[in-house]
Amino acid sequence: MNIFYKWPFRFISTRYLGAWVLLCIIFTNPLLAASSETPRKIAFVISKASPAYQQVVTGAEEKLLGQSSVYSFDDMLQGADRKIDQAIETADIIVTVGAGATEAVVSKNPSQPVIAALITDSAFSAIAQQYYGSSEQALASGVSVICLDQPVKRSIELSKLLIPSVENVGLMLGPASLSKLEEFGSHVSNAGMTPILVDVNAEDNPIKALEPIIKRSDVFIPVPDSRLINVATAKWILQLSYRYKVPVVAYSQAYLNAGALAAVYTSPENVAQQVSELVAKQAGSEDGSGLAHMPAYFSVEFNTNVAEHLDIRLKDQQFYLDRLKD
Amino acid sequence: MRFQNKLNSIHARLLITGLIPLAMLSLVLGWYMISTQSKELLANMHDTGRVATNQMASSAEFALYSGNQEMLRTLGDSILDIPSVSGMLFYNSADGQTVRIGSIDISAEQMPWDFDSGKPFFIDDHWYFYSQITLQHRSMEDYDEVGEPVSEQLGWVVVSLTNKILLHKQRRAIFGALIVITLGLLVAAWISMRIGRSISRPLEGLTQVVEVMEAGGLESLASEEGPLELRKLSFGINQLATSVKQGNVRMQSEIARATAQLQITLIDLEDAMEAQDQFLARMSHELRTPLTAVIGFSKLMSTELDDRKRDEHLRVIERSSTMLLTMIDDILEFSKAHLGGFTLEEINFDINQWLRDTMAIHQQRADEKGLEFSLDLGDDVPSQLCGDPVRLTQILANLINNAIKFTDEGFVAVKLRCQSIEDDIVTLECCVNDSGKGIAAEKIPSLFDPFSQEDTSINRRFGGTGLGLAICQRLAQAMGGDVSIESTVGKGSSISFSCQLSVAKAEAPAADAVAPPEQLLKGLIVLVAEDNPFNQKLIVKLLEGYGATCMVANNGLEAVELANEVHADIIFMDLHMPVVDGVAACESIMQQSGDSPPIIGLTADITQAEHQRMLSAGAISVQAKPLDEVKLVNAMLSCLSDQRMVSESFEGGLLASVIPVDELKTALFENLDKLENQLSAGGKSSLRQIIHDLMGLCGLYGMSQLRELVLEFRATYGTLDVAENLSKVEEIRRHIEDFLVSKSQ
Repeated sequence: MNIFYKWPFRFISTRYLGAWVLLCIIFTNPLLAASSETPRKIAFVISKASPAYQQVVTGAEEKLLGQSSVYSFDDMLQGADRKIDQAIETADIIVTVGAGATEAVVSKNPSQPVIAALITDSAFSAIAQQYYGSSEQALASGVSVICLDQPVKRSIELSKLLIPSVENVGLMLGPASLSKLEEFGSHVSNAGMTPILVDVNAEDNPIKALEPIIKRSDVFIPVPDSRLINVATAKWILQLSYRYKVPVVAYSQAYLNAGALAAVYTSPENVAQQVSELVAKQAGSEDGSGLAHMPAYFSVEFNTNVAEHLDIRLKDQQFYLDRLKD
Repeated sequence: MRFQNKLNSIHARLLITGLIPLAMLSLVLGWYMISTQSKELLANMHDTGRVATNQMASSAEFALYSGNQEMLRTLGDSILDIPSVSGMLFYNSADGQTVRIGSIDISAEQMPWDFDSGKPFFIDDHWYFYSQITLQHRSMEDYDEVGEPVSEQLGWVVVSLTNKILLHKQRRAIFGALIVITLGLLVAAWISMRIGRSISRPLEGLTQVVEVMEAGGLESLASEEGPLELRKLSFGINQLATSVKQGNVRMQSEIARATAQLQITLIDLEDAMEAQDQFLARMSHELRTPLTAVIGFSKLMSTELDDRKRDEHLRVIERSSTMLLTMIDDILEFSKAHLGGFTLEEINFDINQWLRDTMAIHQQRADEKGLEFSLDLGDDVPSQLCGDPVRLTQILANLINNAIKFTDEGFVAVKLRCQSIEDDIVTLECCVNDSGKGIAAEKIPSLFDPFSQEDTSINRRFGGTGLGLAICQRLAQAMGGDVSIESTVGKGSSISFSCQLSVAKAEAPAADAVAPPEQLLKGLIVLVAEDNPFNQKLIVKLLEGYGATCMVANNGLEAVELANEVHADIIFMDLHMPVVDGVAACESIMQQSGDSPPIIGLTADITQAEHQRMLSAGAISVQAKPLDEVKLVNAMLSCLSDQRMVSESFEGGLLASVIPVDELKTALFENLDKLENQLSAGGKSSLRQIIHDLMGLCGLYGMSQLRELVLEFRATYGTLDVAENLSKVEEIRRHIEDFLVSKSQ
């Protein structure tokens, strides 16, 4: 019998390693600060207490402490309004993890710099529109954002890396991404492939819109759009890809698990890394306004069953990561 | 009937007993199997319908959403391969289009629209299963904070399944179950039959063995096989047969032994019969001898004029008559002993006086033969004893008589000793020794056999019936003793008898024993019931001579009336009387009151049966005619519990004291005259009464020869003519005259 499962040893397991580290930081930081300079108070507000969100917080805090010990952290959950109000008054930087947390903080119009992480471009635009009038106004108010959506270019490049013989690349765009139609087309063309683009609206029958495109494509890349479009099209994209044996290079792990061949996505570690770097660099510009940051880091994963089904030979994951970073 | 007999057999019952539960079990199992299979088939069909419907609902999602009817048809065709699926109907909520595949006649109006339960419904021999077609969206975002997207209703699908397949399968299931039931029944019947036979066969075998045994074949043995209980039964039957067989052997042995015993008894009986025949022959001879003497000397008397010779003739006649009477008495005594034993009296008497009286009787004969006749009475013998002195006298007199008879010279000695006295019971031993010719040792045992004597020559030389010792032995045995003989041929004999008497409780006054006769019955009132006037006169005179007062009844009815009116101390009742006989009268008197006087029966009939009739009717004792005066008076005194007795040596007697010869002659001749007159007149109506009167007189007077003549006449008068009958009467008259002449002298 593993004695680590016995009380109180079970709290010594790796499962609680992050918590122990956090506690150590919390208790040791004031002492360190007291010995040198006043620590910077970083408040983390998360949308929900799921492991992914907590990984972002703990990852960022670990990395910050690894760089310097002059930070104090205050973690809270969306909905803890009193605590959030207190953090707004005392914190030097507020990091929101998730769209809900971002809305909870910006709705209080904080004066401190805010870093909105783990939020899609469309979600941030919608919140900024609601509380600041526009994304630009939000940025100007000191709200920085680390966009969750990976650049489509990475997916296009990954498609070429996975299947070098790809000629036709199908891309689905929605109302939110329709503005980047040309940019996407040029990316495909630059990669030596032919773009086949489809525009899907909420009123359209996605099957009828997607089927002819997927039918003609060698690889299909769904572009992240509003949640409505994403939900309405995901099921049919996968079914059509299955029917016509067209591999899908998606933007999330969920897509990958549902049947996509590969996914270029932002993991919690990627977000934590970028958050810690932004906090360390004071987050915003010198004039105090915020910045919109594209995801600096990314992850690549594959569905080996689908690859096997489609007779696609995959290489080492690092190979693709290295190529894409180049 | 035959069928019923078969049903009653154990085999049939066992078969039925075993078959019925097994058949019931098979039927129940069959029913259960059919029911279960039917339900299972229905459930399977429902499962098939549900699975097909759900599969269609999930598979048709894409086709319905995309409005691709061709895809729907392809989908539908894929499940039409299932035999029970007859068709399906898709409904697209987006455009309201329906797609029918296969054969399905359901319309939207017929649908129950209960999608929550999804319960199938049955219309026109078809089961219909239905389900909604729902589009379930999925979010493909890793960090979705909104939650699962809502589902969207695309339409519904109905799948129809034909019931024919189900019915067909159910029929097949029933058929299969029926086959199983039939097989089960056959197996059950076979098992029951086997079990039944395993029990019934040994039983039938047992039955056959028992039948063989019943027919006598006890050698047959039942086979000990089959169930344990039957083996035990077979063992028991075999044991029983063995027991019966052994019992038969024992029984046959017993029969053989009993047969041998019977043969011995038969031989003894034949010997006894032979002895009796010899005895009868001797009796005939012995009876004829004195009779011949009597008849012959009687005839001589009529012609003899010399008084001296006439006296001599008369003595011969008297001796011969006495011999005859003794013979008859012996025969009567033996008959009494042989039939019912003796009735012994319990009378106090003086043993010394009794012994001397008995010796005195024989003294004269001993003196005549010149024998020394002595008495030796032991000092230890009590003087006063209680018993039957008359019977004792009978034994001792017989022994003394024999001793004198067979001793020509020498002595006859009588010795009486007391053997023991215990609890007032005295055992006496009386021995009579003589110096006679003696008896051969091998002849001694036969002397106690009735009708036997040492040899036939004795009878011829000394007379006698050969009953004396037999009677003595029976009397001695009746008194608790026996008779024994020791003898040496040529030297003499010693015959002794023992008996048990009790010591007298109270000595009777000596004066009573010697009371004068005329005072003995003084004050007593005696009722004499006797139809014969002469007998009446005789008895009355006799009793009045003893001082009694007599009343006379002429028949039984008068006796009953008189007994009711007058208190009599004792009643003499004749057995044969007109109107009411003595037995009926005796019974009537006994029933009248509790203290009825003692009754003494009188009869000339010597048979024991007649005596018993009187005793059964209530008589205390019965006196046989001819009446013995001493016995009669003693019987009276005994009835009255009077200790006084009349001695044998009492002088005078009935004839001497009561009946003058002339009166007897007159009475007899009167009856003879009546008889002759009746015969001459040809009237036979009163003949019987006259003969009865005559017999009564004969019996009363002890005229046995005359009685025989009268009896012979009574037996033959019906077959003879008047002259022959008159001749017989004349013969009787002459006999009476001869008898009376001898008496008058």
